[in-house]
Amino acid sequence: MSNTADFGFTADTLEWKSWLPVLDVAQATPDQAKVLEESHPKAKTSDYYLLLVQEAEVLRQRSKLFNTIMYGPRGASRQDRELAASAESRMNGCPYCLSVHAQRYVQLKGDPALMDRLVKEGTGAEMDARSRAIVDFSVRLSETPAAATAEDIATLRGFGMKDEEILDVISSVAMFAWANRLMQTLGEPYRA
Amino acid sequence: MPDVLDELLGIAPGSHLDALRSLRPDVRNATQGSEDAIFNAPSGLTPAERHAVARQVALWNDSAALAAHHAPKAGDSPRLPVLLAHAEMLTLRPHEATPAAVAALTAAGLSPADVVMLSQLIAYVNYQTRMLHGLKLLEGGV
Repeated sequence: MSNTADFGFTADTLEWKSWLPVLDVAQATPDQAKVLEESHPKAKTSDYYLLLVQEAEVLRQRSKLFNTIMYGPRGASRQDRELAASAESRMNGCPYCLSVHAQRYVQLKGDPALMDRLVKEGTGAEMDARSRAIVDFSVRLSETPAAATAEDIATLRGFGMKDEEILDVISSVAMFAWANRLMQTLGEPYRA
Repeated sequence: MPDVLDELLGIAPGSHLDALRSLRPDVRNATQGSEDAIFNAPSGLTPAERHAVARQVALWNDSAALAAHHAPKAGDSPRLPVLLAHAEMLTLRPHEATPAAVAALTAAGLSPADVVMLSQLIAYVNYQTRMLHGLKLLEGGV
């Protein structure tokens, strides 16, 4: 692969393998085992978490941040957060991230046809005006932060979004600026 | 508790941004927790290398305030150019990543844990620059 997007984009379930040696879970220290448990239900069998847990405290903080940003109560709806994450993952070219979050968006009663088009055609795919505003803002903030402007915020407010909801979209984009880069540069997706 | 983002943006207690951020205290806690775990914990990467990489990633994202925050502790090392080359790809062209890019880091003497730390650091600063710019856009309120 010369480009992480060459794998192609899909909403099917994908696996991920590390390019570096991962921790043998039998050798985990008590603290590493605890961080794995805090991070994800399947972390102990996942190359991704077994790689990252080699710096356990960094993973602990990253997982806490990820969970509060993506699953915290109130604020932006969870499908809006997943839409922002999916748009950014498509734009950055992270097939694994996109497959996971496209599925979540649909499970959360997002628009399945919209997500199907976003997966296949990219962030310019046809969508309703409110989703378009979230996707455009997310793409600009992820590409080069300064490209996102006060005009984007005004547009989102025009759709009735409160500032705490917009901040949740910003946080989701920021979190996936982090998550995409780990998934894209430490290993690669494959089909089970 | 205020975190590094509050500090960099000068968010005052009781301001619009303080009120918004107070709704998700764990974002503050875990952002500061990440900052401490990435820059203050022992690692095969020296503190001077970590701050030098962070400074450069902030500059590539046009975040002068964040770059200035790292500048005083940034320092050189013989392998710093290899770390910076990786940081540039990860920041600006993450889709160009290959196993060979990771192998170049291990050839420069980085252990797998060091590569994880370097990658987390670069990705974390990319997170921070989006938070900083996004928060700034919300600063004035409606």
